[in-house]
Amino acid sequence: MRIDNLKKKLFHLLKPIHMPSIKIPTPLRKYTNNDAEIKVSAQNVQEALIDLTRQYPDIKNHLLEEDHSLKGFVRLYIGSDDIEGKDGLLTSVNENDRINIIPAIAGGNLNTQES
Amino acid sequence: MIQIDEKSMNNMIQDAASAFPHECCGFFFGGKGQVTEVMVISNKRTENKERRFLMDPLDFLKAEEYAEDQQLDLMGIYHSHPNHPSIPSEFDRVHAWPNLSYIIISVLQGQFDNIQSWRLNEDRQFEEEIISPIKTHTHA
Repeated sequence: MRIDNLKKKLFHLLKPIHMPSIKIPTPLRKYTNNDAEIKVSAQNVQEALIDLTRQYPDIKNHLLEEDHSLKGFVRLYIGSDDIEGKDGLLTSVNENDRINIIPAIAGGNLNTQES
Repeated sequence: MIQIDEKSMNNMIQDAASAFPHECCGFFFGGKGQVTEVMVISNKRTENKERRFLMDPLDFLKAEEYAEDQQLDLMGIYHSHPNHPSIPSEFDRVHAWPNLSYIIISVLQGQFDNIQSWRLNEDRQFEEEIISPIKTHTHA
């Protein structure tokens, strides 16, 4: 039993920790000391966001809801691929991946929330 | 205050008039508080384009890459309000991002009416920023 637990711990420790990067969009760079690209330690997009908000807590309110779900007007792409077409926040990331945070840009003169 | 050079101002106004009765949209770039370039973007709405605009997320990536390549700042987003004043709607406010300028161009019956610039404050309310037009000097 003890050996099994040790094996599990070793497996977890030996899992490769990737260091992908997150591209910060211009309007949010104020919250990352004007850095445009941040290296994060993560195996999927969700872990990448957690590490980003750990490094730069002020950006959190602009990306995540209180329950840690993604805000409605934020899109996440890996390169030019929308993670919604993959596994969402659980999409795996590799060492050289770049996660793009993209603000959804919309508006108009109709004064209601109707889309 | 936001300074806008003559060429950029004309480009935005022309785009707004050409798109009428639909809303136009695009980005503007520059540095040190002065707009020097405009990127026209296609309104991706498939319906209600008279009252709404939407950009493709990849257009935002394109604009940021352009800003980096040209060593410019992505200063903000412009769009038009056909037959409505150049005042942001609640929909504009809810969808707005901090630290960007939002220029709105009012077009009445196809003719340019007014242009105003807005910016979110700390309480996520729009405040107007005064536009200062800059003459483009040409040398003979």
